[in-house]
Amino acid sequence: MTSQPGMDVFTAWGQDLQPAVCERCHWRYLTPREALADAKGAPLCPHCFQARMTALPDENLREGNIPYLPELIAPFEVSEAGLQTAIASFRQGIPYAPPDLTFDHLRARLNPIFLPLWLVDGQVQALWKAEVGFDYQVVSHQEEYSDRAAGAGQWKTREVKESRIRWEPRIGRANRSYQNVNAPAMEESAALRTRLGDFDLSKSVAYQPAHPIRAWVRLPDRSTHDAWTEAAAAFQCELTEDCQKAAAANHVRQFQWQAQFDHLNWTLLLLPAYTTFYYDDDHCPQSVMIHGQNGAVTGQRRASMRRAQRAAFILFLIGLAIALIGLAVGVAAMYSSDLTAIAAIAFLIGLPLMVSALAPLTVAWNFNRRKE
Amino acid sequence: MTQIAFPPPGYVQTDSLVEGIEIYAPADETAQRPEQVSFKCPNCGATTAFDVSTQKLSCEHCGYTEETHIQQVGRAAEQFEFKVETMQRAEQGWGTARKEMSCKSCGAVISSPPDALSYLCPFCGSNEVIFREALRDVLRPHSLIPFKTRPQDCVEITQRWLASSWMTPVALRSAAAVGKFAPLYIPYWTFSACSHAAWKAQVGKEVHERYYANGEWHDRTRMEWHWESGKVTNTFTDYLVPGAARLNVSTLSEISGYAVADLVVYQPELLAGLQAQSADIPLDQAWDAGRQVMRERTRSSCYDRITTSHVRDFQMSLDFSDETWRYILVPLYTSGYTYDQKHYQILLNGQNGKVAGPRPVDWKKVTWVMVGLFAPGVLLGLIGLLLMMTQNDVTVGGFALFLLVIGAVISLFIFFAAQRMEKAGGGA
Repeated sequence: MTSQPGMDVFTAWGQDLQPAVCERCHWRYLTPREALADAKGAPLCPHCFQARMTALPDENLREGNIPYLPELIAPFEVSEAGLQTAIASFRQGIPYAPPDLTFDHLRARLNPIFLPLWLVDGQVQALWKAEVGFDYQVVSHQEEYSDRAAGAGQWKTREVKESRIRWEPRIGRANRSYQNVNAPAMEESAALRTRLGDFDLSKSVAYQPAHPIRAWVRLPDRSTHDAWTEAAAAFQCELTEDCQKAAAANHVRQFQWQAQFDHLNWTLLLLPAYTTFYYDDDHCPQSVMIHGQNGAVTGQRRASMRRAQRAAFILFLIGLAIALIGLAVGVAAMYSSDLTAIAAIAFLIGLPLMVSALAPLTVAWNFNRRKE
Repeated sequence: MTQIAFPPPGYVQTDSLVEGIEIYAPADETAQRPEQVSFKCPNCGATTAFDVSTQKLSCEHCGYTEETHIQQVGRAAEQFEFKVETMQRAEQGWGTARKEMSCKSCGAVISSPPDALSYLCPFCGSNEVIFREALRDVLRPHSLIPFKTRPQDCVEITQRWLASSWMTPVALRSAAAVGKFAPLYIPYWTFSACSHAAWKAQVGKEVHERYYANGEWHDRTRMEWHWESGKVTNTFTDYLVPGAARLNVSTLSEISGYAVADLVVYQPELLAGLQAQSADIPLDQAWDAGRQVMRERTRSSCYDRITTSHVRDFQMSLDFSDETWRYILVPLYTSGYTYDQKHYQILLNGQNGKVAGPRPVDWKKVTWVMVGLFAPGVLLGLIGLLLMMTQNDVTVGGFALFLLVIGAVISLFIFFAAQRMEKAGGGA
């Protein structure tokens, strides 16, 4: 799909989508128009979950003269069972998990979302130079000598082969066209990639307007101008690889070029993810993301210090009560020595319980510290 | 990026496996040169040849001389690794097929032996040097040690050498008819490597002790054994192994001592008019010989670190690294001389002037010397015998026996030295 200045965006998307923005985190989305017209009110931002979405005028669908046109879409591939496993695994193993961090909450708040990636087509004309490496093997020798009875004064020779690389300079000209070279379309692309991991782009399919999008589509916040640095680097990577192949080399290094780009065409690739959230102790929503292809889950896993404090307080109270009973029995034992043993046992139980009240706090604090 | 000048000088286009990409690689210098280089005088058209005396190309006919481009590289001369493909090729050898060359001067097709690096056309006498192949093939020489000894000095050096031993006939220097010295380049392999050895051995220390037995004290020496171990690293640089099997190894070793520091880059001019042979001892075989010497020297180094002379269960493991080789040509003169109607072949080192070969021995002179060595012992023995019989004194007899033994040892040494001189020859 090529970008044409002035092209009707809705013709390109082929669906009744409404641009919207979160006034808090400033993420902009496209969403089915009816989603914003919900009787319960506008939905929460599927990124920060702290503000309701606000509808935007339709012209926000283009950056300058370039409309945000989808070309490829990587479909959601995680099954319902896979999603449940991912959510359950996120919850698992958190000591004193926040009360809101439950399977049901996470599942109910799940939002499918598409994250954008720029796809650039272009013709590259370049002068390049590089060092190409060719693998080769050399023969070396290892020897053993022994004057022991069995092999008295005998040398045993073993031939060994070692692999080395021979580097040779190459220089050349290139005139190649490349399709769908990737460039980040969001400021958070690198951070999200670190959190979610890589996507298998080979599973992408052509965007079909006939297939309705039932997910939030995040709009780019990096202009093509800003993304050009990464796009040019990606073009360079592609050409480096091609030059290595062209030279029939095994390796390449110190690739330098002088390039000229023509017929650049920018479109979008949509990558699938799920977002959900839970409220922490301070009633702040904590975002959880699930990779839309492999179900890898990522988000802040924090123990609730409030729950830990409550558990510690209860333990301390129980211990204190038993210790006080022990004290009372001890006073009574001044008149009847038979009660001395009971008083001692009450102290022996009560005091350690009071001390062990520190354990929930330590466990929760330590868990949070490790997660930081 | 720095500005790329395109197409860059010294680069040639190579095959590309991807459409739309052109590739240029540094030009192979040898590919642009002719396979054979002929040497003709621009003045008179006669054949020019490398003159060892002037280190120039010269025409014997009209006296024309031309500078040669000698590029001394010494130990920095190009070295090669033991690549698997090179070793496989070295094992296969060059076969026995002869090479067909077309003479640039007269057009005659010359069939040359495959190991010849230079050739003289038998029809027109022009010099042909097989050049391109020599540089493109790593199993051909890339550097050589040029001649330093001038041909006109060779006769005098030889005559000095002939007269340098008392065992040769007195008239040898004046009566020997020394032949013409033919300059020849012969092949040598040079090897460099690092050997890393780890050794362990049981070493014995003598312990002297006293013990009491049968009512009295005795002394005895006992050996206490314990393990010692260590590591040794040796670096071998430019170890020379001859590449010519047809030359007498012992004669060759007599004149060895080629200084690799004089290596120059192989140039066809340096071989013009001279004979040059390529190696008939293949690389793998020569490397086996070189490695044997290196490992034995490493073993000696390990032994040197052992603290006593009592050693048993000596074991070592040795790992070679940074192994490189060179294939070089070294200068040599071959000649001979006639004395007393017998012909003797000699070799003369073209770099340092050492001579080796058989020399006639004046056995009469040698016999008289040996008799002279025995004489004091025999005479004193007779006197000692008389004294023993008359005065029962064995002192003189004992001293005579000592002199006889000394005389016998020296005589034997002289006898074997003379024999060796007659057969192969001691260097000078």
